[in-house]
Amino acid sequence: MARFLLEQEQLPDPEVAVSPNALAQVEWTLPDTSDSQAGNGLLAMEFLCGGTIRFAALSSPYRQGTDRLTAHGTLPTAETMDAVRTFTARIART
Amino acid sequence: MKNEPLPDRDHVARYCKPSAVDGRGLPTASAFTVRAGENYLSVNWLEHFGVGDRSGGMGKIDLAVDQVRATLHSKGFQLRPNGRFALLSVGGVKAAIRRVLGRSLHINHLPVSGDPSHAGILGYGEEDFTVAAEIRATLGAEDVRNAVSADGFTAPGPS
Repeated sequence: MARFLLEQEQLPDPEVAVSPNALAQVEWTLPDTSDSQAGNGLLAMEFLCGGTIRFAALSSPYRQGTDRLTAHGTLPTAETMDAVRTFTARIART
Repeated sequence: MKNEPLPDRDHVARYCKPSAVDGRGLPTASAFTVRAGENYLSVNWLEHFGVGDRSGGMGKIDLAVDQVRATLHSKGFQLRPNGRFALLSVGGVKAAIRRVLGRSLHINHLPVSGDPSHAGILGYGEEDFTVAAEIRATLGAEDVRNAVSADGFTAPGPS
């Protein structure tokens, strides 16, 4: 996880947590830029023992009748970053 | 009532340890990650105490959270000052997961000795990180309470 964070220097520092299963997790809050003001989204990652990342990203909380983007899966690091590019673009340092 | 579904209008509280609370005092997705080998996420049913009806105002739900503090205290559970209780709507969580992921969660009453309000969120496992993240996303600041009450009530550690 430490190497991952060092390599992603364009991203702000995430919240870091440890899962009940002793896996490192990081989480970023995504600013709410929607017209609906549905609320903040989030991008969360869990670092698995085999070197892959389990990730979940959502552009805003679920609200009935509100469109939003989501992504989730388990992939190697580079593929994970590709899969969540839409979300990291919203929090990247400029 | 045992292993019966809780009413959708009711609420449950999840204790979130400090390592699962972010810098703003909100729980992270890790607070809703199921422990390996367990088939549900432990929560406490607020309406069990008869004071959890949110229509009665925030004072009533805070009384129910006090009861949860007392219950966990009596079980020897150590609540940490930087921990939090996440207050979840039974119907809200189930609807979000069903509509977003097409899956059915169950939130059932699972009373145990010394903890008659104990309940569980069933239907997902440790690998279902997306479910944990969606549950996390249902929370706003108004849905979170300090683990230790303002009057300093804390649970002692195990003796």
